[in-house]
Amino acid sequence: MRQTMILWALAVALAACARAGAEAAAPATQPAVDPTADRILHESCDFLAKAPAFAVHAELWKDVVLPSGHKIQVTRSIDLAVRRPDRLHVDAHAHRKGRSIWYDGKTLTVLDRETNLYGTADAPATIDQTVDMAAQEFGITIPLEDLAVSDPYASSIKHVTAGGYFGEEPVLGVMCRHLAFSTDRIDWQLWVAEGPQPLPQKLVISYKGDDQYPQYTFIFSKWNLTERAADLAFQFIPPHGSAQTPLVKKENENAGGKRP
Amino acid sequence: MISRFHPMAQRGSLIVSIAVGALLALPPAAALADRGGGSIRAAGRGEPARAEAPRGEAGHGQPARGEPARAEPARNEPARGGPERVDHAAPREPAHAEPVRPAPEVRHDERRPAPPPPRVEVRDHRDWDDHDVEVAHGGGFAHGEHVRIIRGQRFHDLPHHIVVPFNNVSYYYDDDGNFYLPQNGEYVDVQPPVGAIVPALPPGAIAVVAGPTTYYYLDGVFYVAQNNAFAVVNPPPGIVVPELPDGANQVVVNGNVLYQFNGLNYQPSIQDGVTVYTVTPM
Repeated sequence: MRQTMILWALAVALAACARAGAEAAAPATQPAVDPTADRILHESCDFLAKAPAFAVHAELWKDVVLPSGHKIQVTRSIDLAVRRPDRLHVDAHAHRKGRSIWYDGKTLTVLDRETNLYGTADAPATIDQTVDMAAQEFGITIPLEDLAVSDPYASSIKHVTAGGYFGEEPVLGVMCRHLAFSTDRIDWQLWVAEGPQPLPQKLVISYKGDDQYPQYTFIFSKWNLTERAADLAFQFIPPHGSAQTPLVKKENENAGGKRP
Repeated sequence: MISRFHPMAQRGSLIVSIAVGALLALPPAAALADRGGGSIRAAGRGEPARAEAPRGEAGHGQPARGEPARAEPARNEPARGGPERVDHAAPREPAHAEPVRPAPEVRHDERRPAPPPPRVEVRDHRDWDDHDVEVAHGGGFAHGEHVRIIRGQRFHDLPHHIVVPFNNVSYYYDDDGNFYLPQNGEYVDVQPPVGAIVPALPPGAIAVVAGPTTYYYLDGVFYVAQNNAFAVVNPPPGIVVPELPDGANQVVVNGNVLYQFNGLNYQPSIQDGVTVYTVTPM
C-alpha cells in the first residue's frame, strides 16, 4: 500500500513536470497567417532566393513627420545589385543626400555622397553575415536588405504575428497578388506579380509605433535576373575629391555625448 | 509691457515651464536605430522570433490578428496654416527694443500672427536621409522655403525680430534664430554671443544629449534651457552633432579631413551609417 502511494505520488509529480515543460515550450502567441498569403510569399521569396544574381530599382515614397507635427511625403530612389553569395551594391538617393554601399566579399564600404566621405570595414564572407554585421556592429541597415538575403522568406516571416491575402490588384499595370502581414512593430504589405516570375512589385511598411503611423512605400521596377554584374560593379573606387573617415562601431555610441 | 505679475505673464511663464519640462524629458538617444530607408528585417532586430505557426488560421482575405490592412489612420486633422513667406521688407528701424533678459518677452508684429512655437526634433530612429527635408530656420510650413544665412551676410532690412541685450550690446534676434548687429546702416548676421539669453529655440534646433545635459543645436550654435528661456553656451568637448554649420571650412590635418567653424573643429565620422561630427575646440 505504501509502495503504491509512493508510485502514485511520483506519477503525479512527473505528469505535473511534463505539463509545465509543455507549457514552457509552447509559444506565447501563435501567428495566424492565411495559407494563401503564406504560399504566395514563399513562392516569391524562393524565386528570388534561387536567382544567382539580380538588380532592381525601387522608388521609395517615404512619410516624414516634421517637428511641427505635419506629415509630408518625400521621394527616394534605390538601386540594388546582388550577386549571391558575396557581392552587393546599393545606391540610394534623396533630394540632397545620397548613400552608396559596396560589399565585395571582403570589405564593406559606405559612401556619404553629400559630404563625399566614406568609411570601410572588414566584412565576412556572405551577404547574410555582412547585413547582420553592418546592423549589429555599425548600426547600418542596408537598403532593400530584405531582398538581398539568401532566404528572404525566413527573414521576413520571422516576426510575423498575422497575415492575410487580399486578392488580385494591379500595380502600374502588372497584375499582382496583395498580401498583408503584421509584426509587433510594423505592418507590411507586399504585391507579388502573377505569372512565371513572382517578383515583388510593391512593398509598404507602416511603423505603427510611431506618431502619425508613417509609411514607406516601395515601387519596384527594372527587375533584371538575367545579367550577372561584373566584379567591378561591387568594388569601391573612391570618387574624385572623396576622403576616408572612421566608420564608428556602435560600442562608441555614448562617447562624448549621445547622438541626436 | 505686460507686468511679470500680470495673469497673462504668469500663464505665459507656465506654458514656457511646461515646454521646457517637456524638452528636458527627452527619450534616451540610445534607442536610435537606422531603418535603412525601410526594412522588414531591421524592424525585427532585437525581437524574439515567433514560433513556427499553425498557418491557415486566418480566413481568406482577413488576418486573424493584428489588423495589418487598416485602411485609414485615425487622424484626419488638416494641416494648419499654409506656407508663408518670410517678411524681408519689415521696417528698417527695430520695432521692439525692450530688454528681454532674463526671461525675454516676445512681442510680435501686429500685422501678422505670432509664429507657432518651435518644436525640437526628437527621434527614436535615424535614417541615412534624415535632415534631407529642410526644416531648420523655419523652412517648410508657416515659413516658406528655407533661406540660408551665412555669418557676415549683410541685409538692408530685418525680418521679424526682438532685441536681445547682452554685455551692453543690443542684438537683433529673428524668428529663425539669427543674430544681427547694426553696421553702417545695414544689419550683419553675427555669431550668437555665448551667454546671451533667448526666449525660444530657433525652428529646427535638434536635441543633443551630452552627459546629464541636453543641449540644443542648430547651425553651429548650442543652447541649454535656463530659467524658462535658453542660453547660448559653448559646447562640451566631444559632443556629436548631425550637421555642419553653414560656412564651415574643410581642412586636412595629418591626412584627416575635418571642418572648422567659429573656433571649433568638427571631426566627421560615420555612425549608424550617417555622417556625424564630433566637436572639439581648435
